Amino acid sequence: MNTMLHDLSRTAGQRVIADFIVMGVILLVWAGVFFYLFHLDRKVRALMKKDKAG
Amino acid sequence: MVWQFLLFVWMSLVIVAGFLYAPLAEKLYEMTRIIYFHIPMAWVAVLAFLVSTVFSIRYLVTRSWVDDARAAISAKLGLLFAVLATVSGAIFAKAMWGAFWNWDPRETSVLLLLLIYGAYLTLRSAVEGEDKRARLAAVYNIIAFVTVPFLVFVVPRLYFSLHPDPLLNAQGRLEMHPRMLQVFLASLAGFTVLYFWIFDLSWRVARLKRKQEEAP
Repeated sequence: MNTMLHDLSRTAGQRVIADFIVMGVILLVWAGVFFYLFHLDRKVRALMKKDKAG
Repeated sequence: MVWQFLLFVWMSLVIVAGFLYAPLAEKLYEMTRIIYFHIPMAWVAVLAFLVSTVFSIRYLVTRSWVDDARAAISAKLGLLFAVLATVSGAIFAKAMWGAFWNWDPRETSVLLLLLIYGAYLTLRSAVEGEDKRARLAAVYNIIAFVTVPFLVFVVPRLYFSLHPDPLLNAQGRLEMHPRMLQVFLASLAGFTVLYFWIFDLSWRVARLKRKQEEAP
């Protein structure tokens, strides 16, 4: 099976669907990374506040 | 907090624009999209190594643990982004050239870079004694960064490479469709902000850990 992406034998419809799937996956990964960092940021801020107060 | 959500929206728009707004480059077809992730990751890696070196130089002047910790954090982030750039490059290689790894000059030079900075982290974990570790790591880090311009910008241009022309080609021209350039620059800015955010976050965690360790 030819796995080359520039294999133009794929139909336009198949290529558009593949585009949206890859875009969706990248958006999901980005959202996951962002909310993890955001959660960590808030946690660290809270700890620093507690540390200052203590 | 507001800027963080702006970054989220910004990068989400970059991802969508990369697929729906920017045209495909000639010969790259769908793999064009990797430009908006692979190059910014490589850029952030170089930036992180540079920041790390600046803190290592500062450490040798100030002898403060703050500079040593910041140098280590930035080197770790540089290594992380270099790994991500290598992985995304390997995906590109598989799609365009048929194999994940081809020992292309650019692949080989980035592998050397990974080994050099991997050794920096190994050195840090192998040396006991905070001052000795910080001093040795700072000197090694400065020497390590000397190799970065050669491995990233010079060596891959000296030999025949399958890698597409860099953004600024051999003639010093910037050949990119205006829409692609817009998305690319937006991605570059987004990744840079993301790096500084993670750097700051890691630094605050390191400071908290240090305070806990020093607490009686």
